Amino acid sequence: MRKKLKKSIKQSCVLFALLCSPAICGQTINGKVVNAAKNPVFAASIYIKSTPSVGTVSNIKGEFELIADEEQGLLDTVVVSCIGYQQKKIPFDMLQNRNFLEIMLYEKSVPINEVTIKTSASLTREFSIKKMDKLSIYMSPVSNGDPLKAISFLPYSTNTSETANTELRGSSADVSRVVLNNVPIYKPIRNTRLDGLGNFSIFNTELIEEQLVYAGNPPLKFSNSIAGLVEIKTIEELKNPEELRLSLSLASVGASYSKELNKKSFYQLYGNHQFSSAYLKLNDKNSSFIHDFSSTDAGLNFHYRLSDKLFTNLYSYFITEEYNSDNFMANYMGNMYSRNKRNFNVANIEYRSHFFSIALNNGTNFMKTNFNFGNFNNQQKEEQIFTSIDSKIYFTNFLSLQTGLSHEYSKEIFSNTLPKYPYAVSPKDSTFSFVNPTKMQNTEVYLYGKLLLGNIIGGLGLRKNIPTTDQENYLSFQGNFKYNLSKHHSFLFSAGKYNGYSIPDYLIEDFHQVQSKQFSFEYSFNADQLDINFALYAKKERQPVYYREFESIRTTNLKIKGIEFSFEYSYERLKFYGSCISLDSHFNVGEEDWYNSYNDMDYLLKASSSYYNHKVFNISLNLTIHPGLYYTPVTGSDFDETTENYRPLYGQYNSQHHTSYTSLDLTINKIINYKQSRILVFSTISNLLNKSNQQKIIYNRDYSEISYWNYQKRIIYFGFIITL
Amino acid sequence: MKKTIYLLLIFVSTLSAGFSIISPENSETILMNIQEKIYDAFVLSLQEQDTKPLTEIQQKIKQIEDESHITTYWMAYAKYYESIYYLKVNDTKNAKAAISKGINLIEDVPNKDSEYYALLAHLQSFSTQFAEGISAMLISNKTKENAKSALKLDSTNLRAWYVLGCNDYYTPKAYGGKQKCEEYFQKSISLENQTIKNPYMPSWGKDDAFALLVAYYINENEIEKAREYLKKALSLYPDNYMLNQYAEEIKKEH
Repeated sequence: MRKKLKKSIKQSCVLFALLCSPAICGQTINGKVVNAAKNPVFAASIYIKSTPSVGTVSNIKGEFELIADEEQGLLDTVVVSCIGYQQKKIPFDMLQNRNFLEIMLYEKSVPINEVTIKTSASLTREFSIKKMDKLSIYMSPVSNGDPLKAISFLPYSTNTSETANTELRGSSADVSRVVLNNVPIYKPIRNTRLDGLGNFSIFNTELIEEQLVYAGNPPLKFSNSIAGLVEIKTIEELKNPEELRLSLSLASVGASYSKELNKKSFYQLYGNHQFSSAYLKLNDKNSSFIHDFSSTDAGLNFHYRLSDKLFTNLYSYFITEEYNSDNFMANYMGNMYSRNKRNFNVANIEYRSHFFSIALNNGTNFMKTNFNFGNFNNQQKEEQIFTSIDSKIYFTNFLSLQTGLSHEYSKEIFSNTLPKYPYAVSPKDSTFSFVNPTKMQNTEVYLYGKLLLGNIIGGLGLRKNIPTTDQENYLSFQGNFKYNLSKHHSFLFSAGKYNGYSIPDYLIEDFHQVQSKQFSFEYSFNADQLDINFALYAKKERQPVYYREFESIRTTNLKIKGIEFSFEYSYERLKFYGSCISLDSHFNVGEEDWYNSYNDMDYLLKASSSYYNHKVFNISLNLTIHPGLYYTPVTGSDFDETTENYRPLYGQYNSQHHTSYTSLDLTINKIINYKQSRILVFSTISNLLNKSNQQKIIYNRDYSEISYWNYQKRIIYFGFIITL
Repeated sequence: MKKTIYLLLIFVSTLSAGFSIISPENSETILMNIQEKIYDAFVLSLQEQDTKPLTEIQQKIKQIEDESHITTYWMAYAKYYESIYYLKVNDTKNAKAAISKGINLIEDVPNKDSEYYALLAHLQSFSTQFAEGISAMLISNKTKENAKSALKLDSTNLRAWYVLGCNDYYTPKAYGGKQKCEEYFQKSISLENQTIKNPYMPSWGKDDAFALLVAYYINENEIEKAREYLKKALSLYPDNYMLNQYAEEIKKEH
């Protein structure tokens, strides 16, 4: 009996224990939701993650009662959420046997639009001074739909050459960089020797998701960056599953086709042929120095998603181009002919999770250029292979790191026939020939960290080369600090020391180490209709420059200081833009004396007024004004009996300047919708006032008389694009 | 005298205790089913051709003191309905002013969560009709950006999917519109109004997503699909005005 009673008690105890176990029976959790100041949080939702039917809402005192019963479903995690607060998740097991629970919610302190928390986005996006998507490139009044031309009208662009070259804050295009999908693209321009329309970049805007402009102090996640930088990212998703575009203009015919393969994979194909006959016939009077030009190019962008987290992208581009015009050098004017063939490929494979990404990037560039003028006969063969591995880690919303390794191999072969004497360049003057092969390998490692402290975002980068035996050791470092005072006002301070290598061309046929030190301060005001920007910057650059006066290459120190101011105001259908730059730029060649740089300018003014009305037309009037550029005058000449030619005698470097430059350009376009097609009709008139803007001096044979070589005068261009 | 002072003290303390009890109850009561209350005030304003009911509900929300910005959300939501009201009575100027106030209210919230971004995108999408030319394009872009921000923070927010769909639906085909709205609306209607029933929190969007999905199928001449979704939608929202309108349209024309 006793044994039976004992067994019965034991069974009862087990049953009681089982009944009381929170895993079996229902559990009531009482608690209070408070914020960091310990004040109650009203209307918070408290529920079980896997079983949202088990849930309740906090009252005005922040109090709640959650009755959790396993019969209703799995009791895994309690979620507490409320508008304006970070969601909190608590494992259910931790709440068991607690009579009362105080749950503290923290306000969201990371404004999502200010800080990048996506591994797909550029880690340094916040420090770029301008973000341009496809639409803003097309909307730029001077872009002609070209991504790099769109930059040329921004306040930071100090490009004065009427080309699409990226020249930012007084630095030359040779040291400003363009990076496409993490791969640097050198010489990103086609028809570089054209002086007017036709000067475009080698990129197709349709393929671009976003381009970020770092006017100075680029983050050191990029290799060989000395001055400003443009980071371009191609699209990862098509807007339309299938699209065909056909274009025809005065000087080109083209087509592009894009197609979705599945939800996240697609390809884009495009091709253009450029011809000069109609363009030259219409603009004969103002383009008489151009005899002929043509180009044919084709591109492919292929994006293939292997899984949700893994994708590959391939961008391939081919171009062949020819240009035939008059040109002037020393005291000789004659025909100049250039031919260029180029292929570049950018391949990426990337793995992305929510907090980690790793990308393997490869770029190859093959180019062959022929150049004939007077007694010059040059051929340049170029090969570049760039490989990098980049990894991003988002430890928290506050701390993220990017690190990587890059290797660049460049090989150049110059087959030259050059004038024996630089001042004797006519075809009958004597020459000498040689072949100059040159190579460069550059391996670098970098670490970039980004930290968010309240309204301050800080970024620090270090980049170190792994030198070969004949290379100098260097370490580059820089920092960006952004302070968001409010949603309208922000300040950006940047400073850094940069190292890299110059890119050879027909004047400087070797790789030279280049350096810069930069400091900048920027203020931005952004509101719905009005944007205002102000910047101050100072930098020192060290790079090789070819001097005709010395007939040699000399290491040159540049000191650049600048002030920028710009605004953009939109009202209804109108948009106004204005910018003013004052650029103080001087150089020396290792001596004490400093001289004006060619682009030392008291002012560079840009203004634009646009009216947008899709029902009627869109019209933009754009004005650029700056003082004439500096040049070194020829003060006299000596007759050289050896060459039977005159040898120029140069005055002080850049002691004279051309007359001021003014260009007023007009752009009109209209979009016509027909059924499901869209037709864009566009026309531009550049240099509407038909002003003679001086580009360079032309001398007679003994340098006693001068005349001027001008930029193109009034040029008319038009065409249309049909999107099907 | 002493007795009188005691009585006075008891009266004052009772009164203050009463206030402290009544005041929170009022706040809770005001915000209980606030979404429906705002809609009812809108309907009443329309019937009376007077903004008074909408103004009154806004005044009540304004009185509530809270630190969690819930009231800001509902004030902005009320401004949206105020804008629709003005539009219905052909007062475009005030309609524009009301929606701008709503947008400004949310933009000023420092740390927006998914619901705030979704409402901001919704209000911006609505305000596109008052903008012209480039401004309209920029607002449309902002709408998309904010809806995507909402989804980044909470991919199960049906309102964000709905706004994304709306933006695509109202973009003309020639400008790349109407390509993805079906997908976005489908996603929206597949999700829950709220994770748990919370009478103080937003639950709008699903009926509107159903309505625009049906409208899309009617426009694309996919009548069978329109019927199918209309049936589902009416079983959930039998009194929805737009859904009933589409039902009649299908009955008449097909």
